[in-house]
Amino acid sequence: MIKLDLAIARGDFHLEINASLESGISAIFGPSGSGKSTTLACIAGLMQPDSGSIALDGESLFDSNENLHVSPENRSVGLVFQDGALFPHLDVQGNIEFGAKFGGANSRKVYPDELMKLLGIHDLAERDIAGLSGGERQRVALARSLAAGPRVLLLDEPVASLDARLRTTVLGYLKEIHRELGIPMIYVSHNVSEIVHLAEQVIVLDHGTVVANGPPRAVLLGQGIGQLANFEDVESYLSGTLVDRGSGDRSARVKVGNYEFVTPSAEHIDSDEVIVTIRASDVIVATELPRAISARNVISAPCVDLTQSEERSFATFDVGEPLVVELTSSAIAELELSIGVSAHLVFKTTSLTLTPRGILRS
Amino acid sequence: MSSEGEVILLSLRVAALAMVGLVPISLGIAWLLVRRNPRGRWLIEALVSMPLALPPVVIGFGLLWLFSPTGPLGEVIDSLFGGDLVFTWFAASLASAIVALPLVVRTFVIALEAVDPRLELASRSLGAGPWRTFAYVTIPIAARGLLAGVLIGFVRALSEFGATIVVAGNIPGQTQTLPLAIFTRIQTGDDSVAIRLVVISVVLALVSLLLHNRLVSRLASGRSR
Repeated sequence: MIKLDLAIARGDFHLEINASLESGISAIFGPSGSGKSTTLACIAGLMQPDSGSIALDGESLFDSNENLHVSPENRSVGLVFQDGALFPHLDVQGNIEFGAKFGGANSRKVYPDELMKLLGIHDLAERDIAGLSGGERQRVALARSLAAGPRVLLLDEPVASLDARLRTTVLGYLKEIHRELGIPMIYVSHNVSEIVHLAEQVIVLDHGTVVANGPPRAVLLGQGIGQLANFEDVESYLSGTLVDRGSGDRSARVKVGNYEFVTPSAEHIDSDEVIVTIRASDVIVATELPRAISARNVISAPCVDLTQSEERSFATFDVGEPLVVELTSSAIAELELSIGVSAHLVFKTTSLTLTPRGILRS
Repeated sequence: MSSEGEVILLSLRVAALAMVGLVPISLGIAWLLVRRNPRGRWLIEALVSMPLALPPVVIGFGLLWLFSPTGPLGEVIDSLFGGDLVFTWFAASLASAIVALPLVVRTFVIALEAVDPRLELASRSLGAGPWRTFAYVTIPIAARGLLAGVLIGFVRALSEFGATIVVAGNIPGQTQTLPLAIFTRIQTGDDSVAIRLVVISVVLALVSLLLHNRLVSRLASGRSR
């Protein structure tokens, strides 16, 4: 657990945070310039707050009253930069071994070889950094940080610079790494969907102050943060397994939880494990089973969460994993939708996108 | 050994020693300027550039005054080493080093500026302290630029004349470097030897400059990648 109580001012910019981040995956959300990256830099020790304290698992990393500032190399806090910040003079393996070489002796240390296998970059070991794609870079950066055996992993918008397809793949990796290695993560992003998908807790920053703190769905889809998250398309990322790849214009079938989704053909995907991406606004909710309809996916699932604000309303359905649906408040009222009630969800084949799931196995 | 061979070896030795002392100092100054952006930056930059603006003879005179047996540093050196610095090949190295300083520092500054500071931060957060970060991240990434600085400094040290002749004299076999030897041969009318030495000078300079330019152009293309 990380306890933050810090204040920092640089020119016109003021940041004041007083919050604790539980173990597991927590997130810091906010528009650019809200102080997200500064907060991470303070936790990593790359920036020194003007006053306050930072403690990790009860150990003080910074305390202005005691004049304590543990230098970054002695914190065992891993920081993954947005573009990876890989060392250009080393190859992939060299980068990862750098972390292993200098990282603290820690029980969480994972061997570089194992990490490369885990992240599916074993084949890249001797490749030059310059020749890597964005997604590969992110995975190498992740492996490098993990090799150092951090007590907590800080991720500064790790997928913001990637295209939509790679983004879901890297998100998949992150989730599995957390499950596999149990390393607490702090994930910084200005993307609602990513945080709802990954995190158990979110802190919302605006102009350097905490404006909300709590479970992501309630905080980001519900009330309290107004226009900060207002103009975004919310997506759900569901883990699935291919049952039938399809071909050409023949649809594929993917098993998600106990459901089978009809999706565009998966010819181009070489793994059987996939992530199904679906936009919240692409799902239609019906209380009676629609018949004679062109949409290929009609499933029935229970509503597990409703969040309504003045601007937007969302219902979350349990399809084995949470599927977020955006609808108007008048629709919610008319359908008499409430938590615990099952409804039919209707969506088209083409509103689903498949990406290979970065599955962690050798 | 022919006297030309002796002159060349001495010149290389003088220039090499100059660089051995100059490189760490220049690296320190360049790092300070680039990474610390100190408050007196303008003053440091002006002082470092002085040898470029001053006639080398003035630098030689300054060194002579500093290190002469009765000078402020001369007595210290005498009590430490029991000898004199002036009119030794060591003094020639010192003179060359000071004259080469601005070129080396400037090239080092450019080389270090090309290193993304976030890479150093990444290294720190991976557990490498500031010195290790400097040795394993900063220097290897800046290596080409740093090497270019060393070469240009070496060339400048090899061709140093004005300061050297004042503080180190022109003693054959001891402080008579290539430029001084050429000067002496011209004065004594020994034209054929002078021309041989001139050709050697031109070749040494050309090879070093070609190497330097190659490194610099690679540095430029490496950065735009």
